Amino acid sequence: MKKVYANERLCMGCGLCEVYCLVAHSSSKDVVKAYLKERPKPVSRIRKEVHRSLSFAVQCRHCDEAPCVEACLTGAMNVDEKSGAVTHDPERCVECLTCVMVCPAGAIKVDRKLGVVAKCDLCATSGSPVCVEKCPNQALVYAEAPP
Amino acid sequence: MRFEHLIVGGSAGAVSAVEAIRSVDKGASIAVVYDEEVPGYSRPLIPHFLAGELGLDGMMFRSMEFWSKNRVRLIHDAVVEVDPDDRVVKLAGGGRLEYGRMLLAIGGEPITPELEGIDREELYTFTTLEDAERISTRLSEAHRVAVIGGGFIGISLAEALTKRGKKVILIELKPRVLSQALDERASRILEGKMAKAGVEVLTGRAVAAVHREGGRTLRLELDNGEKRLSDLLVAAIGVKPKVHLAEEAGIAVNSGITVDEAMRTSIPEIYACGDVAEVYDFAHGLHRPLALWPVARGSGKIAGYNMAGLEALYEGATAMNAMNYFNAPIITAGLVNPKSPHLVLSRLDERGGSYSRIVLKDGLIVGFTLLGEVEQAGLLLYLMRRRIDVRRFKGKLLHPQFGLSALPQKVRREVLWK
Repeated sequence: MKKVYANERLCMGCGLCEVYCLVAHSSSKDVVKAYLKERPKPVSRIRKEVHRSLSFAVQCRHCDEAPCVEACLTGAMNVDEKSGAVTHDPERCVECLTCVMVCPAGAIKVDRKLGVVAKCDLCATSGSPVCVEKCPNQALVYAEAPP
Repeated sequence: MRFEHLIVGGSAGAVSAVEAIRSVDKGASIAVVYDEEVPGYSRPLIPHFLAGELGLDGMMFRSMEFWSKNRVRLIHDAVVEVDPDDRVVKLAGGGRLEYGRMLLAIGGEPITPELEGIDREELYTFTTLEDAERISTRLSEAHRVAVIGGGFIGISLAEALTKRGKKVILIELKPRVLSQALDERASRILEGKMAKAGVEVLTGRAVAAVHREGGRTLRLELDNGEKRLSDLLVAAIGVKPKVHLAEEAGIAVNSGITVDEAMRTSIPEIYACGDVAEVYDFAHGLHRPLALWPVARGSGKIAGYNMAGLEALYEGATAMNAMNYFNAPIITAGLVNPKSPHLVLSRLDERGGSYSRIVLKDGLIVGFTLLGEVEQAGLLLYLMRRRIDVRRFKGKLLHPQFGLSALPQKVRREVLWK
C-alpha cells in the first residue's frame, strides 16, 4: 500500500510537516486559531526528529499485522479492508496506552486533554497526506516503496 | 456435532484465533464455546464499565457481527470434560462436541485469600464483566469499599470506585503498590496521586480478620491491630491460569499449560493460548504465564495459524503493562527491580511530572518504566525485544527527544521502511 516515507537526505528538519498536520487535524483548519485559540489544542500526528546532522519525520507506518491493532483493548484500532491502512476511531478509544506500548516507531501520540490517542490517518478525508503536499523539499513522499 | 476447529473461551485469544484461521481457510467449520454473558468483550475494560464511562457496547472489542461474518458457531455453554483420545468435549448442558483441532483459550481465575469471619460470596473479585456488574449493584448502599491488593487490578478498581464517589481503602501486603512492575520511586509517585484522589493506601498491611459490624458492614482488623469499616470487600490479588480442565485431560501443565512455539500442547491437536498458557518471557529467559491482553491476542493468532495449517511461531513476550489511572500514565516492561549487576539509568522531571527509568544488562535493555511521558515506550520495547545493543547511544535513551534518529541506520530502516 501507499505510505508516507521520509527521505533523510532531503529533510532539512524545518518542521512544517508538524504544523500542517496539526492544522489539518484541527477543527478551525486555521493555523493561528489552531495554535493559539483551540482548546484542547489539536495534536500533530507526525514528529520531526533531529539528531546532529540527521533529520526526518515519523508517523504511523501502517504496519502489516500491526501490533497496535492486535493490542487495542477496545477495537478502536482497525485495518481498513480496502486500503490496508491502520485506522483509529477516537470514539471507541479510552487512552489505555496499550497501543503506545507496542508501537515500535513511537508514532502514536497521546492527547491527554481529550483522553484519546492520535495517529496518522493519511489524511483520509482529503485523500492526500498534507505533510507530503506541503513539504518544501519533497523530503516526504507518498509512495508504494521507500525512496 | 463435529467442528474442524473448536475454540474454548470467547475472549482475546479466541478472537485472534478466529481471525487467523479465517485468513488462511475460509471454509473450515469453527465453533466457539463461551461461558460468560457475552463473547468478545474486553476484560481489561471492566474498570471503565464500573466507573460508568463505558456501556456494554463500548466494552465489545469485537461486535456480535464479528462471529456471524466469520461464520463461527457460537455455543453458550461450559466445557466440563475433554477426552483427547476420542477428540470430544462434554458440555455442562449435556451436549458433546467433536473436534479436529481444539484451542484452550480459557484464561485465568482470580486468586482469593483465605479470610476468617466472612462467607465466600461476601468476598468479591474483579476480573470479569459479571464481577463488575455484581460490584456495581452493591454500590447504591456501599459507601466504603476495601480493596485487597495493590497491583494493576486493585489500582484500576480503586480508581473506578473513586469515580463513583466511594471512599476506598486499598490494602497491600508489600511495602508499596505495584511492587512487581515499578521501582520504589515510581510506586511512591503513584501512591501520592492515589492519596490525592482520596484513596487511603495502606502498604505493608494485611487483613488479619473480618468481623460483622451490623447490616452488610464489615469491620476489618489489620495485622497491626488497626481497624477499618467497609461496606464491601473486594480481593484483587491476581489471577492464576485455569488449568484444571487440561490437567484432568492429561495435558502437560506446569504453572500454566505448557506449549511449544506453535502454541501446541503436549497433545498435538490441542493448542492453548493467553492467560492459561505459559509463554517465553524474553526479559527473564524462562517460560511462565503472562496474563496480559497483547499476549493473549498474539499467542491466539499464532495458535490459529497453526491450527489452520500455516506454520507460525510465537516470539514470546515479557511482563509489560500500560496503565492510565489516577492521572498517571505509566508504561512498564521487563525486569524492573534487578539484582546487580545491572546498569540503571533514570531521570526525574518533577516540574513536568515525568519519570523514566531504564535497566540495562550487557548493553541490552532488559526493563523500563516510563511515567508521565510515555510515547517512546514502544521503541524501547522494540530495542529490548530485538536485543539491540544500545551502548553506542545509551546517553540518549533518557533524553526527552529520544527517538529513531538516535539509532543506527539499519535499525531505523527496519522500523521505518516496513
